[in-house]
Amino acid sequence: MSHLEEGVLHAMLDGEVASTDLKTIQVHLNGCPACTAKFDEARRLRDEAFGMISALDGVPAGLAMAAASFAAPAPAPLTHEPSRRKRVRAWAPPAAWAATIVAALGLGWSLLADRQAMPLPEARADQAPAAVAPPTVGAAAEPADLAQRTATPPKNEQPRQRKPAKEPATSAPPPTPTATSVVRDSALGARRSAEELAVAPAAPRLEGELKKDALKRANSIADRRSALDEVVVAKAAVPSISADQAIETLGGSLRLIDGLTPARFERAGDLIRVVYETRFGRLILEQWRAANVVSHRLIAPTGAPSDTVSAWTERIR
Amino acid sequence: MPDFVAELYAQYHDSLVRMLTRRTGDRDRAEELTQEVFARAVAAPPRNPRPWLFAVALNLVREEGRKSVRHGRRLELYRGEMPTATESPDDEMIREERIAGVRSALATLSERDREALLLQAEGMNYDEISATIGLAKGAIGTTLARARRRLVEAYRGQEGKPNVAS
Repeated sequence: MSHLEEGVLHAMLDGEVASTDLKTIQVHLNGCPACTAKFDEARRLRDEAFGMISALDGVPAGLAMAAASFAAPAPAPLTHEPSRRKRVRAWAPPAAWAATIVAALGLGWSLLADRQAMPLPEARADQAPAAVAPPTVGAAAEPADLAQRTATPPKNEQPRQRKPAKEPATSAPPPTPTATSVVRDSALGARRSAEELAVAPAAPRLEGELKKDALKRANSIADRRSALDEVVVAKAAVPSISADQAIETLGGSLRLIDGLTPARFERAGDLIRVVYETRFGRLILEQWRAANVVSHRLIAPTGAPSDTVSAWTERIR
Repeated sequence: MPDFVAELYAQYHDSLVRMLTRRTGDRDRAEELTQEVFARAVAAPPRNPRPWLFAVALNLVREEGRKSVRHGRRLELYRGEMPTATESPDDEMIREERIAGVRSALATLSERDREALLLQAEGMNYDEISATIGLAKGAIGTTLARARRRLVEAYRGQEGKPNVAS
């Protein structure tokens, strides 16, 4: 089989490849590092472009952009072989820990460089340990996820559905890096990824400090944009919440996917994410309230067949 | 208002306004254009409403663009909107810079690429995008791939950041 075209990779990311064709593509991706690299690149482009377009809106702009960095549906283009899936899951939690360590080191290194040996503020230094087990980053979050599932049994959540979906939802906006991809990014020297990971979990209580600090260091327009990104990411830490809290945040209206049981609910500011675990990876139904209207968008796991994504979309209630 | 239009309004109003706001940069204008779209839906009820509504909306934007050029005025209608009352001047400035940068990057795309991108961001699947902009479904993936790459490269180009590796 010749190499996959970029359009096919984007169609796959958008959940537009039928299940009949998906297997062939996945088999090729499994054995072709060049196409796998192109696939990663395509995913990065798609996420970044979507974040940019979302930034044009008033309300969910920063959240939508930053959402690409947290609690991603695990991209699963290559994992239809049971043995491979098992192997990936087995080393994913250690990888998350490794990512945290690398991220913390990266943060420390960059801060040292930026501030020319200026000592870290005590509160910020405390964040590094907090980043060790972020509840929403990749495989490291699984124990917390299980606990959350136990704490919020789906039976109590289903009756909370208030009104039928009025608008067909999206096909596949931004999935986000898993712990695995964070490790890779850090290893490649992606300083910002490291900073995001390290800064995110304890961000809300440090928001003022972060803004002040980041803006102080921003001398150019480009720097200022980076500073904003940093703050936006900090604002977008996604703690798990209960179904009741999700409903309350949305003003009494929460949409769910009929027939699926939510694994947990997450909140980042005014953005609510209902997370489902599917055999293709994490399926996320994002919802936000703006001008008294609740909007939603479905983030399908990468590699989910288009017919499956359509079925999910139609069952949003 | 006929029932079917009321239903369409409830389903698609917000989505249309959001897409048009992203396209024109002017929320008020987006609202006006959306009203015009629904007025046309009353006059000629669509069979396949979602692509129809968005196609009409995009046609109106294009038509408005042509009129604007004829009248010698720019279509840069963007006005900064304040999402929160508590935003500091620094935040406001940064946010506006980012929006202006994105808008400027979006303007470098071809009309077709831009529309495909905005429709996809609005949640349309490839069938709907195809029906809305009249492009073969098989070409949507390639169109979106090109549009995304160009958008990101244009934006990064403004910042002096390194472009995306090919």
